[in-house]
Amino acid sequence: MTRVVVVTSGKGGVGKTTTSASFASGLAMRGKKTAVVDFDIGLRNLDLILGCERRVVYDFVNVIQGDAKLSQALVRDKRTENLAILAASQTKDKDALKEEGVKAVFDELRDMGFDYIVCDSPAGIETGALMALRFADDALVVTNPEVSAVRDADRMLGIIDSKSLRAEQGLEPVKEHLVITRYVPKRANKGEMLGHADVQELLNIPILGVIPESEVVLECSNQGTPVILANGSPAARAYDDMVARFLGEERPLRLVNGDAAPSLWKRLFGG
Amino acid sequence: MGLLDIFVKKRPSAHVARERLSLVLAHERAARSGNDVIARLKEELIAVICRHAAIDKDGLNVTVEHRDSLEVLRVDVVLPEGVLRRAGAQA
Repeated sequence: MTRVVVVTSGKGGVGKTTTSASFASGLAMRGKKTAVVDFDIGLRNLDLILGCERRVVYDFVNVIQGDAKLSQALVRDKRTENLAILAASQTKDKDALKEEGVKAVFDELRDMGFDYIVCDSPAGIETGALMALRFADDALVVTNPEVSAVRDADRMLGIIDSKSLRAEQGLEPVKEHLVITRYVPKRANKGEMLGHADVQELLNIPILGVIPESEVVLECSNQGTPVILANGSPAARAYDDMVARFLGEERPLRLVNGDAAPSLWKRLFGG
Repeated sequence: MGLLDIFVKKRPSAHVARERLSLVLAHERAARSGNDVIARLKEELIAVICRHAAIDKDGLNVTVEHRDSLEVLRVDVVLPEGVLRRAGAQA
């Protein structure tokens, strides 16, 4: 059975796309046939983060409007088997995303045997974000330990509880999971940053992952590699833990500091 | 006190953040669920009134007004002329 997972936040710049790319790659690496769909119509970016931007020919809206077949638009990931990407359209017409169209594409993905459909939501609470969460079975709510991001995450939780199809049809509610990004345990311990337990308590949904602030994240996006593939980096391990927990494994939170700035020695001599 | 301030540690900003957030979130959640309650109340009121008199859905307005420290629930119902009398005659 296919499960639809939305990665959402409300606020922009908290790491939705970074998380979507790593989460989808992680599922695929564990043998789950996964499609990751960019819902940010007009502002396509997931393809860049996954490093497949030059292979995008057709996009989500082309498929919805019948200008291309789904099989033509899905881009197979070159690094990870079992992973396919459906890029967002760069059209300015935000209304191109219609519920029936999205449903038809998802039904076809189900028929193709995908285990997971990961929806990378745009920021905000407009059509794109609403469509991304509409068919969700699970929601990864991404926030960083900052007041504005936490408030917007709470707002988004309220929207999931009222605007998702599951809520409207009175089915079992969308399963909500908390993902905290850009976390610096040292600062949280000193009381300079909201702690993961504070954020968890405020939003009142279980933590799925705590991703440390890390320089690797920018390096990965520069190169078009999902963070989860940055072997040995604490951020990659945190994403790997997150995927394992999502699939039911018990893993304790590591809460380690991310990669520090490279030492002078490293900068001078490499390494 | 001035001299003591040097030794008294400033309150960690994360605590301030947590308090501010818990207040604002509680307030916003109450507002959200309040809207739900009013919507349900409106539906149920329409159902009850319709049992006795045919009224238009738009003819019923439910609002909450804040007066000083009181919350006042205000229900306005527009009845088409003679609707109650006719309903009474049928009963």
